[in-house]
Amino acid sequence: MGKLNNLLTLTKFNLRYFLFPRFENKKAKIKYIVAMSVLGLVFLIPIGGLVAGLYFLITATQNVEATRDLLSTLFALSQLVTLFFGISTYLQVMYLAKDKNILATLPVSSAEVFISKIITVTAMELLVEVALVLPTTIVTAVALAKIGYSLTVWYFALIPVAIITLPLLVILLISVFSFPLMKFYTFLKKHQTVGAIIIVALIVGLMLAIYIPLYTNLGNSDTNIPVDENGNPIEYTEEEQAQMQQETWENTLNNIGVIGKYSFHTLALAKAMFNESAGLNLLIYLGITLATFAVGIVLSIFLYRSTVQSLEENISINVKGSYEETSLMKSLMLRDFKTTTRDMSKFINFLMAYVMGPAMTFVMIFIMSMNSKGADESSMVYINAFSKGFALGYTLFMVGGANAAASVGFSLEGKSFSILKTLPVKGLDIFKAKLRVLDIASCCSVTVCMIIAAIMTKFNVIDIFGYLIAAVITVVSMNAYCLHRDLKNPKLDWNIIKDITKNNMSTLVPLAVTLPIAILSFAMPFVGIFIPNQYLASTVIWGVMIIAAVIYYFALRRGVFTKVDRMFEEVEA
Amino acid sequence: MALMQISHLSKRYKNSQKLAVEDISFDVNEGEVFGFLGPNGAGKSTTIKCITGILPITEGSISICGHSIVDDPINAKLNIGFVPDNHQMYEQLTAREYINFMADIYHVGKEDRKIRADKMLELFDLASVVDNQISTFSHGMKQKVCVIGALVHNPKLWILDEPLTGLDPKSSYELKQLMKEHCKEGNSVFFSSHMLEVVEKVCDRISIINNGKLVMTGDLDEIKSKSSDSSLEEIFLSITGVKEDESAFEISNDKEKVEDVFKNGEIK
Repeated sequence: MGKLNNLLTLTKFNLRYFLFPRFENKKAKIKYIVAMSVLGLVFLIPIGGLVAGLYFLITATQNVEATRDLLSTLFALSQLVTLFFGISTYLQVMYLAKDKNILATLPVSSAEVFISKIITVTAMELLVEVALVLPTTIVTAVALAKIGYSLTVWYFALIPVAIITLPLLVILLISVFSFPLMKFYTFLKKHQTVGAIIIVALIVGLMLAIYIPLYTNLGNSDTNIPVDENGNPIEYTEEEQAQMQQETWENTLNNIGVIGKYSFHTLALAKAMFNESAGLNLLIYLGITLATFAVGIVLSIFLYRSTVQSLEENISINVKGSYEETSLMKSLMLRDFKTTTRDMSKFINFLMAYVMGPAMTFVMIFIMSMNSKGADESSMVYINAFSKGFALGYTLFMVGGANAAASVGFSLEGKSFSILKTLPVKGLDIFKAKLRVLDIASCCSVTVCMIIAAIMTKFNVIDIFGYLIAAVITVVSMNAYCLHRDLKNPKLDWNIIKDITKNNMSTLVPLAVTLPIAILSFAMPFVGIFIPNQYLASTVIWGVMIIAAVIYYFALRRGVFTKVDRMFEEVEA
Repeated sequence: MALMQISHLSKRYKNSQKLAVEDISFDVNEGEVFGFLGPNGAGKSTTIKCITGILPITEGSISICGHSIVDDPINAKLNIGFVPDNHQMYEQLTAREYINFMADIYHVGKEDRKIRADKMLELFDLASVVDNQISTFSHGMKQKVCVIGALVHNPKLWILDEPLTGLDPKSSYELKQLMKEHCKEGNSVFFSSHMLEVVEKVCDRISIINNGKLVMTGDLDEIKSKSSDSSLEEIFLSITGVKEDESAFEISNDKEKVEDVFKNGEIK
């Protein structure tokens, strides 16, 4: 009885803690309700589209067997969606919740803690199932009634059974996936620098993987208008068109239903709902589900114990370094560099600012080169000019305007800003150290952008140096400007990095400041088209761009150093 | 000779009408351990933040070894070693990197930093983990690294904000010894604490602050002679007003009076 009470108390607490948010005040509660309502409305759009499409397909095709397979597909897809959202929920509730130490001190067994948590995870996944299964099964019933097919009581009785049991099988899959994920998480915790590089590489890779094939496919799409032997479009009668349309719908229904046919357990459930050997099929479905759920629970217990143990902090003996004396500036720069690169979230922020520029420059020039395939010589002149201008404009926009200063800026010091204030070092020296780290990183980024642009758009020597000089002067000016703005009003009271930029309109200002020179860089290569000699054209283009960059330098960088000491002293850390 | 002179110091935070610290003045002399006492929210941490340059001061002056923290902050700070109460430090650095950084900033030579750091690392049992990242350390270990970082340049004035919180008995003892030794070498220690028995044992002189105002300064005998109470605890409780409220509570036998004393969850 005592154990049951503990379990109930823990489960009630976990459900309340993970399912219901807590608010600081009434205002926060109202804000949350409004946000959730908007999100709910947004969620209704795809659900609405799904049920409308479902109704249309079922009534248009009037094929009951295919509808049964379609329902099986929908159940399988709902499990996939639950799996997708469930992994994150599972990891948060089981492994990443910070209640481990508190629970360890309570007079409850680890089994009770585990069961209460697994009930919580299942309850959270039930919500996803309700949102997906309830509307689709009801619409299916309505559509089938419309075409004159009467469903038996099995269908309606099994809707709640489906909602409750569908997430159970997913638990097995989640426990299997969570193991390598937690291993990866443990690895990232120990190797934050490597972790940040992996994550940024994954993000950039994903972006390239989505953009490039998407654009390549769009570029190659053809209209598929049927033609006769002479190449003229074929004209069909209305009846023929209706017949073709019907075939298309049936093909669509069958194609979607294919997944359902192969999803053995959900097909058994769908068959039971459609009263095809209902008892036997229900038994098969429940047998498979409960057996896999049981395996999932056993696996979860094993993984929970081993993974939580492996997450414990372990301080090992480590004596390998030596004391080195370095100059004040180098020491400050090293501190900035190390504290940034060894913290995964800070380093991701830092890398994204400098990797996204070259990556996007590559993607954009690549897309333009795809577009120019087969273009004639006169068109190529324009395309090259556009590519050249685009390369520089995009680099400036991405590297200069991305508020890269946020990566090692004063706000990022957070609560440790107070240490800087106790040091016998001028605020200006700290500012300069940060600026140098930023300048080095952005110059590297700009150089990579230049190499990509030079290879892909066939730069001449003047283009190479012109591009580099104009871009470097602009980005170092922007760095000084952004860092200065950050010192003016640092946001030191944050817990996660997102808090610094969240709801902060001022992070858009650097983009606005970079816009004029980015637009000029788009335009200048077109001016060059009218100059017959390519070297003279390049000299004019980059001459103008360098003058613009120097104007930026004087406007944004030259004056910022004078007030830094006073601004630094005035910050109340 | 006074190593630190605070004269008519007042501090008002931005966007606040109230003075957090109001017109306080005292000196810390060479070779003494100076305790700074006060209840929560009395203004101890604000005063320490003003002394160390974390907060700009509103009025008055602070001088460290003859250097004004406002007009000559670099030379003033060169004479301070500071251990904050929240052990704020660069957790992504290893303990050695942190010590190296502090030594670079305070211009300590390679040999000197090695001798001082190694001695204190041994003292605090940290020598075997010196190349681990600070983020992997416990609360107490972080505090010890903070202490080493603060002492690596052998400062004239060592300032500690609530230094004994979270330390094990051995480390607490070692730290108190270190404070005494630091003073023997002609330096001074200025620290805030709630642990009155420690203050009573370690300090040569103390100041008590309450509601932003300095209530009393002097050595223990001097303070005891001014008061009818016999222990520092009783003096502290009397000065900060807690003792009077307790006596009020003792004579309030009936329920209504007790509720009145604790109205709104606070002792009136």
